[in-house]
Amino acid sequence: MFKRLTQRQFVRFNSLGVSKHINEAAFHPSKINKAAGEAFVKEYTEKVHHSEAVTKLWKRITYIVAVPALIATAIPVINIELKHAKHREHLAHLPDEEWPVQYDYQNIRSRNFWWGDGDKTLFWNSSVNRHITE
Amino acid sequence: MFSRILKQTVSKRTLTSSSRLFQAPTKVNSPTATKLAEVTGPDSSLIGPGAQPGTIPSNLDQATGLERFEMLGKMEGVDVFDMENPIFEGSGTMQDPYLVPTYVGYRYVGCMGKKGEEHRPYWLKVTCDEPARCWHSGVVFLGKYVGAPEHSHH
Amino acid sequence: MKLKNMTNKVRGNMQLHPFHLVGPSPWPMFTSFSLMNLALSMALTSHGYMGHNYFMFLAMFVVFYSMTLWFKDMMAESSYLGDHTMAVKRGMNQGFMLFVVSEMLMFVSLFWAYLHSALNPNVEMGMMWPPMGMEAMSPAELPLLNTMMLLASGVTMTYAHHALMNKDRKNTLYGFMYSTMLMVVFVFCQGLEYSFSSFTIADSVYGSAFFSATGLHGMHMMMLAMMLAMCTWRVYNYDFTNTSHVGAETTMLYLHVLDMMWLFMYMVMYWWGS
Repeated sequence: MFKRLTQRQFVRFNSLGVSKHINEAAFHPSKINKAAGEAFVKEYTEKVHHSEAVTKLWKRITYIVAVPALIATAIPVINIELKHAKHREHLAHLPDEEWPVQYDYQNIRSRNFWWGDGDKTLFWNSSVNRHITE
Repeated sequence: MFSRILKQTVSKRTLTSSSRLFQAPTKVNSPTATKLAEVTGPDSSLIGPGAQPGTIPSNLDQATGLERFEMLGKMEGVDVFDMENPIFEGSGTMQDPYLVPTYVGYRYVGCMGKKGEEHRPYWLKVTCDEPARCWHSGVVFLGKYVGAPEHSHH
Repeated sequence: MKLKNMTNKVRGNMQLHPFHLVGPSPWPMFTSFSLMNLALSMALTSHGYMGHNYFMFLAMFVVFYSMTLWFKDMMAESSYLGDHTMAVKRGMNQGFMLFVVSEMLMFVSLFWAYLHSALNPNVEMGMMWPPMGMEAMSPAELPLLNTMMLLASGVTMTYAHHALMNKDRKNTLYGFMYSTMLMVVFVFCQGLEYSFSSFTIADSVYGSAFFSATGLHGMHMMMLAMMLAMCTWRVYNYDFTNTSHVGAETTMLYLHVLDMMWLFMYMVMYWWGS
């Protein structure tokens, strides 16, 4: 019984039959705007050509401005960060007594975190972050 | 029996579009249309030739279906969806009602009033059997059936 | 037979309106449930009801899975089925615009939270910003490199967009690949920055406001990296045409807006706030 149900086709015919206009043009001549069509094609091709020069310009900006600027920033930043890395090594061996004073608003823990040992925040770095409890 | 039904239903059509894409029977006999007049329906005449390897395709290369239909229309200056002014026959009086083209025997029309005395759209269901008259401005519409029974699928 | 115009017989077989009435799809429901699972499992895990995070990661995976399936359908509808007419594309662009506006308002609220505490630091924190005993990040170091990377990604994005409109496949691919890589490196550098930071999210309102704002931005950068990777793949796959590429347009808009957001963030939170 379900077989017939699944195979049933629901076709919603209207009762009007085939129109006598069936072979007439779907778009009345008054609605065809040749000029608009030509303008559409023209705009399309012009857009492609116009963007050719702009593409070259931005390609140049990418390689001549963006890449050198990135390198020029990266070199000093890497140098500074390497210096910081040395400083961090020094910090890591600092005894708790010499660690800067912890104020009440630092290392706030109202309950344990649900990861790790429950005391370290995400991105915790034990050479620069320390939770000193008496 | 149930497993067979299940199999049938599943193989017939699942819910996703891409599977519909693979399963939908497409007539592959009509060549790609380059202008509106060559379109033979929602079939292979609206499938572009595809991109040349190593290029970004254009819409003319690659658009399919309704998107391609719309584009072909635009290139000839035709708004294929008739969004602006679908009515072009008649003068809106009882003797000479506006003729509303319809493929399914009725069409909803929002009457905006006569020129000079426009009003907010008043929505009418216009059929081919008898004229529909706007309660606001008295403009008369009548459906002009231009379709065939199979058009009623939509 | 040579036809001069399309006949009613053919026109009547096509859809009469330009809008895309989407077919029945399981993904809205599937995505809703997976998002509900994610919210529930995150809340329950973080409040200690679960004891493990497997469910949270499973829920996250399912969200990504449902996104993949939904996006796959949208790509099929646009590139293969041709359902995306101009009206549909306009609608999607407008929808994305509204999404961007709501995102901006979210960032505004975080800026508000930051400035609320920063403009008038109270006496318990030493009436200074950053609070007494806390050291802000230097704006001239890694954050500067991050800023440069985002500015460069704006350039490579424009490069990719014009190449795409110019039908220049090679340069489009380069542009999108550079942008994707810059995003990935940005997220990586931001991770370094976080792990070198002398303060944490649990260090006073400064840490909380700083990390919620930059963290939200960082998450958006991850999304952006995914979107850009997807765009690169779609260009490689010949999905985009030179005039029809809503996915690329929205990604570009998103990238530029988030770049702007970062500039504000850099100026206010890294520069002024240090």
